[in-house]
Amino acid sequence: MNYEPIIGLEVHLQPKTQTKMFCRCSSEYFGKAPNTHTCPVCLGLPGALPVPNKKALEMCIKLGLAMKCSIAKESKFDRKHYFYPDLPKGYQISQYDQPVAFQGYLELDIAGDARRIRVTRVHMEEDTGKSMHEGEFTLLDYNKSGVPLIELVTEPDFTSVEEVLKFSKRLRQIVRYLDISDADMEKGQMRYELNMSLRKVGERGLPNYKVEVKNISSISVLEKVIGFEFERQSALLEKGERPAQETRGIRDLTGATYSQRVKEGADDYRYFPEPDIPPMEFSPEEVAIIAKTIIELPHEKKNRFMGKFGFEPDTAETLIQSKKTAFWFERGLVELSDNESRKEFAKLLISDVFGLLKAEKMKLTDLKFTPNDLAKLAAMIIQGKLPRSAAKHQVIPEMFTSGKSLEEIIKAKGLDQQLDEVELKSICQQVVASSAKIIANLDKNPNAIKALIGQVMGRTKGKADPVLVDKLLKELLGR
Amino acid sequence: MKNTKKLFALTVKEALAMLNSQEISALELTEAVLARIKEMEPEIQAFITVTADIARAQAKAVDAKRIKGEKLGALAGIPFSMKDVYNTKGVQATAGSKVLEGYISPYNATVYEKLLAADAVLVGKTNCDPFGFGTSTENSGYQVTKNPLDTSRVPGGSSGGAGAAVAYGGGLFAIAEDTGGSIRCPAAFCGLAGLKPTYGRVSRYGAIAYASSFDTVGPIAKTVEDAALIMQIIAGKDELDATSSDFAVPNYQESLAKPLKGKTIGLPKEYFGEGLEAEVKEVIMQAVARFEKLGCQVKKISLPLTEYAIAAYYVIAPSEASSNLARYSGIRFGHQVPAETWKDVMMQSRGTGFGAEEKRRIMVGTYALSAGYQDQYYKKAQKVRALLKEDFLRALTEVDVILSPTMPMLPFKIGDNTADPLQMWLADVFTVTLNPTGLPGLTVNAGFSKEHLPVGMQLIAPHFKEEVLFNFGYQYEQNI
Amino acid sequence: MSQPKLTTAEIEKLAELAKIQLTAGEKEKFATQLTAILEYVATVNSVETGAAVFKSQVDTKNVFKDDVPGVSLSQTDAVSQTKNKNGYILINRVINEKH
Ligand SMILES: [Mg+2]
Ligand SMILES: [Zn+2]
Repeated sequence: MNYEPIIGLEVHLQPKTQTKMFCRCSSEYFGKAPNTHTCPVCLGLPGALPVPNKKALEMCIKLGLAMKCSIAKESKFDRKHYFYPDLPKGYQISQYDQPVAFQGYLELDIAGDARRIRVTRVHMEEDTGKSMHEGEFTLLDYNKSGVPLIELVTEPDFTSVEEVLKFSKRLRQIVRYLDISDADMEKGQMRYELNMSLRKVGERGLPNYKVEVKNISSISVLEKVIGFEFERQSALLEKGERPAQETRGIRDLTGATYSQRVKEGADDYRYFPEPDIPPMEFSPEEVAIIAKTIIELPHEKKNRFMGKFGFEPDTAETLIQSKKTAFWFERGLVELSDNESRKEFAKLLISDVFGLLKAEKMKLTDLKFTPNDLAKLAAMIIQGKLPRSAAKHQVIPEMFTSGKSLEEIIKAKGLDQQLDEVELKSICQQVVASSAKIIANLDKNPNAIKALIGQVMGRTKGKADPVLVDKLLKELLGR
Repeated sequence: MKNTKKLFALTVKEALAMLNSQEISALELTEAVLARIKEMEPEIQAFITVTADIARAQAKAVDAKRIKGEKLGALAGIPFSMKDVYNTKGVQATAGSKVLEGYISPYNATVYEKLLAADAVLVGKTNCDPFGFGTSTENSGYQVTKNPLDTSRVPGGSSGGAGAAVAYGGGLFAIAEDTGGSIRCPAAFCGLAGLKPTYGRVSRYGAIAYASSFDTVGPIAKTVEDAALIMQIIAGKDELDATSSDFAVPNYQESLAKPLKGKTIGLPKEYFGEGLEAEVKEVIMQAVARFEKLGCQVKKISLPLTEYAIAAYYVIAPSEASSNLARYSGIRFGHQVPAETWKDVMMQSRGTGFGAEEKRRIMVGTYALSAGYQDQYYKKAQKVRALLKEDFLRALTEVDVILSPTMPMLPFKIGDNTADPLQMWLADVFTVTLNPTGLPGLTVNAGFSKEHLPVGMQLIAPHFKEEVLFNFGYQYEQNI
Repeated sequence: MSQPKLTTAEIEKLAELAKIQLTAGEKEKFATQLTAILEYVATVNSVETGAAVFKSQVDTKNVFKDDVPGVSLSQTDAVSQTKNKNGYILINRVINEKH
C-alpha cells in the first residue's frame, strides 16, 4: 500500500544576543568551561528574578514578520512546569496563549509550484541546562540554562520529506539573512522536533495518531528520522496496527528512533502567567521599526533573479544560497546592464570562482578581487573583447593569486590587444580565399574546420578568440 | 536629655541621635544587641542564624568611617535583623524550611544591598514559617519562637522571629516579608509597627519567593517613625526586579507631622462582624475614638467581597507557591537524599525536606493549576481578585484610609491552633485581602488587652500612598 | 459546592505531579485536609465575576533589560552547594528519559 507522511515541525532557534533571556550572563556558552556562565537567575537560586531581554524579543518579532505572521498586540510570558535535572526552576519561562507572533506562512517552491506551509506561532522562551552521562553519574552544566530560544511551530502541512527539507533549509537561510540567528547546527543553535503520522495516498484529513520525535539536531538527521519513521510506521500499518501515540527520541545520527514515553492524554504543564514579568504590548509603531530591518528574503531574491534577469532556477538558488554569496553577487550586478552579461557573471562565479575556492579551500571573503572585477570580466566576454577560454584559464586564476587589478592582468598577458571583429573578419576572408581544398573536403570531414581556425589564429599571433573565429568562419562558409 | 533606656531598647531614631553625637559607638550598640540576643535566645528562639562576626565587622567599619570623617549612610551603625527568606552572601538562607538547611547564598538581596549602603549592621537571620506559610511561626522547620510579651504565646507569623527579635531588642528593627499578613500579624502580636508596602514599592530581588504576585518586602519597627526611616532607604525601582515600580519615593518623614483634622477613616463593616474577639474590638474602637478626637471623620463602609477574599487568596497563593517551590529538588543545593534515579532524588528530597505545611500548600496549588481544575480554581480566583481590587479602590475613593483590626484575635497560645490547618489559615482574614490587591497596609499598636496583650490596628491606603499610612500611624502613636 | 473526599489515587497523582514522596500516613492525612481546604476555597465559584479579568499585579508594561553582559558567578559559587566534580554538578545517573 502507498502511504504519505503528514508532518508538522517545531523549530528552536537561538537568536544572536550577547546575553541570556532573563539575566546578564553571556549567552555564548558553547565550548566554555562548565558552570562558568551562570548566576542566581539562570541557576534558579532562591530569590532570583527574571528580567526579559529586549533584543531577543525583537528578533522573535522579526522572525514572526518574516513568516508573515500577525504580531500580538498584547503578549506575556507563562510558566511551563515539569521536573528534570537540567531545568533549574522546575518550570520553563515560555509563552502559552499569547505568543509574540501567530498565523503566518512560508512559501516553498515545490517542483515549480508555490506551496504554503502555515506557521502556527512564533514564541519566545528559555533553554535548559545540559546533562551528560558518565558512569553512574550525571554531570550537569547550566551554561546553556536561560539562553534565549525562539520557537516556531508549523501546522501539519508537510506531505513529503522534500518539503520538510526545503522548509528547514529556507528557514535557516532566512534567519541568517535577517541576522536573527547564526543557526549553527554544530552549536545547537537550530534544533527540530517532528510530529509525524502516515495516511494512505488519496485519503484526506489527519490520521488518528501522532508520533513526536524530539531533539533532532540537524537537517541531515531530520531527513534520516523521517525515512526511519516512514518505514517503521508503514510496517505497523501494513500489519493492521495503529502506531502508538508517543514521544520518541533519537540515539545517534543514524535517525533511528526509540520510544521514550507513551502519552496518556495531554501533558499537565500547569501553565499560568509568569507573575515576575509584567505583560508586554507591541505597538504598531515599534513593529514597523522592526519591519524596516527586514531585508529582501532569499526566496524573494531568487524570484527576482529569475523574473528580472531570466536566471535558471538552479542558478538563482545557488546564488542566494548564502547571504554572503548573494550580497557579493549583487555588488557586482550593479556594473552590468544586460541579462547576457548578468548570466555570464553568474556563470563565472558559479562554475569558475566557486570551483577554485573549493579547490583552494578558500571562502568568498578571502578573494583578492572585487565583485566588480568579475562582473567587468563577464561584460568583456559578452562584448567579445576577451575569449571565454582566456578568462577561464588565464585571467581568473591570476586574479585569484596576484591581487592585481583586472586591467593590469589583461595587459600583462597581452590579452588587451585582441583584434576586433572587423579586423578578424578580413583575416578570415583571406584564409577562406586561400583554402579551397580544405573547404571542398568539409562535407566529408567537418573537423577540418579546425585547420582553418588554426590558420587564422596563426596569422593573428593568438590575439583572437577561437570561439569567435569559429563563428565567423562558419558564417563565411554559410554553415 | 540623656536617654536612660538600655541600648538594645532604643528606637532607631534615638540610637541615630546617640551615634551621631558620638555618645555611643556603633560597636557598643552592636555589642549591646548581641548580648541581648545571647541573653534572650535560649528562651525566645527568634533567630535561625546570628551573624555576630558580620555585625562586629560592619559596626567597626562604621566607627572607623566616622572617625575618619567619611560620609555615613542614613542608618549608620543601626543593628537590624532579616527574616531568613533573604539572601545575604556567605550566610545560610533557609526560609524557615528544612529543604534549604545548610544552603549558603552566593549573593545579596537588593534590600540587603540598600541597607549595607546605608551602613546598617546585620545581627542575624530570623525564624519564620517555611517560605512564609503560616500565622504563628509554629510551622518553622527549625524552632518554635515565643512571644517575648508572653512566652506561652506565639509571636505571630510568618515573620514571628522578626517580630520577637524587635520586641526584645535583638536588633533595632527587622526586615520581614509579607505575602498574606506575615509582617502585620507578628508586628501586631508583638506590639510593634509593621508595614506591608504597596506591591512593587520595594524590590523583591533576593527575597525567597512564596507567591510572586503577593510578596512584599517591609520593615517591622518599634515605632511608625522608625518604619518610615527604613522605608526611605529600601523603597524604589530595582533593575533586577521587573515588577518594582519607578513611581517616585516621597519624603516619608515630612508626612509624619501633618494634622489629621478633616481626614476620613473608613470602617468596613465586614471586618467588625462575627469572629472578631470582643477585647480586640474594644481596643480598636477606643483607637477609632482617639482618631475622632484628632479631628477625623469616621465612616462606615462595605467591602462586600471580604468573605471570598481569603478563599481567592488560598487558591492563588498556593498556586504560585507550588511553582516557586519547584526549584527545591535536591539537585543543586539544599537538602538532598541520594537515590537511584534523579526522579527518586527529587521525590525523596522534597518528601523529606518539606514539612507538612509546604506539602499542603504545594499540593493545593498543584491541584488548582492542573488540567481540568484550573478554570474553577486558579482562573476563577484571579477574576475574584480583580473584583476585590475594584472593591477596595472604590472604598478608598470615599475615605483617606481604611481602618480594621490587624488580627481578629489576641496572640494565641502556642499549640492552640495547630490541629486544624484550615482554621489557622482563616486567622489571616483581615490581612490577606491586601496582598491580592497590592495595597499597602500599616499595623500600629492600638493598645493592650486586660492581660496586657497587644492589639494591632491595620490602616490601609491607596497604592503607593505609604506616606498617608505613616501620617495616621505617627499621629496615633504621638497622641496615645 | 460539596467536595467529595479526595481518593488515595488522586493524592498520589498530585504527589507525582508535584514530585513529593508521601508516606501512607501522609496520604491519608492530606486526603482529609486537602478535601476540606478545596471545599472551602471553591467558594470563589459563588462569586458572579462576569467579564472580570485580572492581567497583572502591576500597571507597568514592557519592562526589559538591555542586551549587555554583566558579571556571572564563579564556577565555585555555582557548584559548591552540592556534589560536584571538575566544575560539573553531579547527580546519580539520569535513568528516566527526558520528556
Ligand atoms: Mg518550547
Ligand atoms: Zn545568568
